[in-house]
Amino acid sequence: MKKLLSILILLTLSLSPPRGLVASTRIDSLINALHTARYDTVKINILYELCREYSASKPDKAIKYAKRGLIIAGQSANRGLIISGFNNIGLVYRNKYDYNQAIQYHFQALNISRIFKDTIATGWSYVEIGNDYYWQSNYSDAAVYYGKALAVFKKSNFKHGIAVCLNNLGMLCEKRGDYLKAIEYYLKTSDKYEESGNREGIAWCHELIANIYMHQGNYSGAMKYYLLSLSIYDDLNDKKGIALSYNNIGLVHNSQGDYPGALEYFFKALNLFEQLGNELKIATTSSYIGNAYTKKSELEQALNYQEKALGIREKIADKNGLVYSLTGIGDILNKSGKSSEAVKYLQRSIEIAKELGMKAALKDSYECLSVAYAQVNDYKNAYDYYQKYSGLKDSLYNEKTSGKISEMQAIYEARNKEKEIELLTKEKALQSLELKKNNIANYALYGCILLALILAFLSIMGYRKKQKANKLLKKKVERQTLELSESNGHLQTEIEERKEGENALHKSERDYRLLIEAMKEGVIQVNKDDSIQFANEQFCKMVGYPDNELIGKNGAQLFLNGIDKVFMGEFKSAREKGSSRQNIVQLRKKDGGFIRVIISGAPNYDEHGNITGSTAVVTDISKIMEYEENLDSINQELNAFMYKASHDLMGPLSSSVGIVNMCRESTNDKNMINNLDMISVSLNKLDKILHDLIEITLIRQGKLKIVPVEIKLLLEDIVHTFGRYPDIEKTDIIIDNKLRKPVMSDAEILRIILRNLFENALKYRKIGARNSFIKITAVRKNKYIIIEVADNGIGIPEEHHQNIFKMFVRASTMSTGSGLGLYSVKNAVEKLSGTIELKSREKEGSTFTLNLPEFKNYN
Amino acid sequence: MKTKTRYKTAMLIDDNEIDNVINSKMLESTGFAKRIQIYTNGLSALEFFKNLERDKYLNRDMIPDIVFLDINMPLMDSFQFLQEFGRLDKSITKNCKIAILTTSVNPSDKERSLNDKRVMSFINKPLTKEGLDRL
Repeated sequence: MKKLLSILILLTLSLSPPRGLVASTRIDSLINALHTARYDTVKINILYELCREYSASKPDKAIKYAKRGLIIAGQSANRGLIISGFNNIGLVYRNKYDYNQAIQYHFQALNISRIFKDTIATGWSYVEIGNDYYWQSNYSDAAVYYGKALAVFKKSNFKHGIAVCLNNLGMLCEKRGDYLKAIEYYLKTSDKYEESGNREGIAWCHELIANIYMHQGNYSGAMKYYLLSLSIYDDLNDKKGIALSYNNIGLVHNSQGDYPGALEYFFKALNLFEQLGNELKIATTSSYIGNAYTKKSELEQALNYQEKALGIREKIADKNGLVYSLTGIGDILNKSGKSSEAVKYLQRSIEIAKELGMKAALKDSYECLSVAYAQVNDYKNAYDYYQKYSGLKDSLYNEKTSGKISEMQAIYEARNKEKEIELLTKEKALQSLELKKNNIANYALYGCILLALILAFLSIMGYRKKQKANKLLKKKVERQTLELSESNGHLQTEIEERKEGENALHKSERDYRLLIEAMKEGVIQVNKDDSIQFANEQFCKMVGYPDNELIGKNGAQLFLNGIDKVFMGEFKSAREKGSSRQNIVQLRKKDGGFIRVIISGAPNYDEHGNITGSTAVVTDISKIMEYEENLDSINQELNAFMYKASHDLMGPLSSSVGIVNMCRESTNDKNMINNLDMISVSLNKLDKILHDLIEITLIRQGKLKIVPVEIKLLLEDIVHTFGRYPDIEKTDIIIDNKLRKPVMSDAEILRIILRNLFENALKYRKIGARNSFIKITAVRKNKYIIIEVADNGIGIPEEHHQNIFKMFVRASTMSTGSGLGLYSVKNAVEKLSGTIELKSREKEGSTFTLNLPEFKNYN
Repeated sequence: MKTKTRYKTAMLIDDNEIDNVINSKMLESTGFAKRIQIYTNGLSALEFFKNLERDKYLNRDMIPDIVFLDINMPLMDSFQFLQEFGRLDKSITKNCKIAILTTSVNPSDKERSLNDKRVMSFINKPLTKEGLDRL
């Protein structure tokens, strides 16, 4: 059974089956492969494989290998391999019979599987824990974990897993003696394998079923299932499977007393095993043959085969097998009257059996030896060994009985734990009655019913006591396990959180890298000594260096010329105070040329807040500067053109005006004078437009010339220039200057503004109104000069307020101007970095409020 | 025509011949000057002054009392002219007033012109009676 289960476990971990003696060469090749393995995954897999190879022979070495693999798996965060690492270590501990350790490691695997929400791995971990309990003979807990695994696998419809769970539950039932239930499970398992198309699995199930029938003495049933599995192995051409089936069939024949039939199959099997070179099985089969010949009383043949088996078993150190072979030979020698020889074999057999604790085999050896001594007339020894034989037999029986009772107990305990087991227990109860009947019959046969009953009673009592203590112990263990798994859980959660954090960090780092590489700007990272730590592709392209040439070089020395070095030095010290700044510098390219860039830097800190260097984003502005310069020169050209054009128009215009004036001087013809006046008006209008245009170009082009300006004088001068304006005397012009000191500003620009505003106020008076006024107030307020030009003229309709400062807008039909007056005012105000506001109501008047900053210095 | 004139001789230096006609008429009609000399560029005017400087027997009445000088002219602009004019013998230049007569409204032109102490006035074209009165 142990062998079967371990094969199953190996299946679950997709391992190759054990290879017996071939192992050592395989281990060598694995170790070789380990040295040459490049990838972590390969290395880990080899280490695990080594662990499995060593798990039986050198468990400590196996654990070492597994732990090495586990460490690498942990480093590379390969969760699948971490989980299987824990499982592997658990398996080795199980092989060492250290079930508690095994359970602990499997719980670790379980926790990790759960954390990663890996349902399949979770399922397998449950299975492994179940297996651990199974080997610990804790069947109720085993059932619980198999049940959990089954639920998990069913949820994800993982057929192979479901099949394994059903199979293990079946074995559990078999262990408890619930054969019907076991067969039922095996059949279910077989169905699952059929669904997933695993024919080997089906064959395996048939074998299990057949084993049960065999155990129950239902030879026809056993034969049927062994034949079924044989046919599958035949189909699959699985020679080992076929040979094993032959052996099984042979055993059925043997049990039925059909020795020639048995021998036929055993020989077939032997033939195949010899082909396969499977020495262990050759020995086993030879032993079977020997037994069959013994039964047939063909002692010579029997001895041949038993000795063959013995030879092989000695060679491969199969101690288990040796016991059987030695006893078998002893039996043969007894039967052939060579009892004195038999004694040697049997004594050795007893020695080994005692060593291995093989009680059943020991019992047989005692019996044989007793017979041998009797035959050589050594009655004392014969009696002694008979006593030993019968004592062992009794104790074995008691063990068997109490074992069965304890199993029953376990079933009751498990009642609440699992539904399937509940069903199982009912059947169990029925069966236990049968069992009791059998027991009574057996007691009667020995003629010590009463004694046995008392013994049974005592053993039950003893068992119960033990059970109680066990329960307490178990509870303690459970609690500790729970605490352990809880704290493990915490630890795992912590690890998971940290891992998540790390993952997030990795992700964000990756994102940043991507971002940095995708940026059009250059990114460069330097340490405190200006040594370049990182430069993105874009930066390398900018300066024409390959990436690998830049790392470790001194950035300042490589790229900066004298002035910029000083400049960047200041920049750096400011940066070290923690501020991030921008700077325009020139960088020297690899080819010696320069590019103009904006550097925006920010300091880098380590985890203690110390500055470790800085990261800078570098934007190539050579092109932008070029465009800007271009644009600037185009603008200047345009301005110059406008100025020149206006100016050149001015010449002929003034000539025309001069000619008109000349004509007027030299004629008295009234008609002529009228016409000349009309020409004059037109020419004046043209002159005004040209003046405005020139004014605007001057405002835009010229540099500010800051001088102290006496606003009062300026205003008076402006008013004076309008001295000849028609009807100016009918308007009340009030200048309210509250400025005591001159204003620091550009006199010409101020003049343009105020003249235009005054002219507008004058122009748009109410015709014929008697109380017309223009009031100009100037005050200083919070370092601002506020000049208000107010009138009670025709006002500006609300809808024009938005557009009044735009080019060529004339808001009134009365307008005779160019539509440039307020536009140039706006330009002029902006030139002085001031603002202008309009408050006006139609027919009530307008107020323009200037808000001008005062300049500090001359120029 | 008024008989009394303000100045004996006035000189117009302007590349615009129409302006020269208008301005000379204006100077005549207002009785501003008795005699008017016209040069269409600074160089030829300068040559005239240099001849006066060389030939001491030439009539000193020929030296203009006032020069109306345009700014923008080919070959030599007003500023270059004034520079050369400054290098002439003081005897010739000391009684010679200069007025800038231009279409330029550029304040910098005005300022730069008035910075030269020989320049007594900055007048915008066209030359008017009022403008002459203000001189």
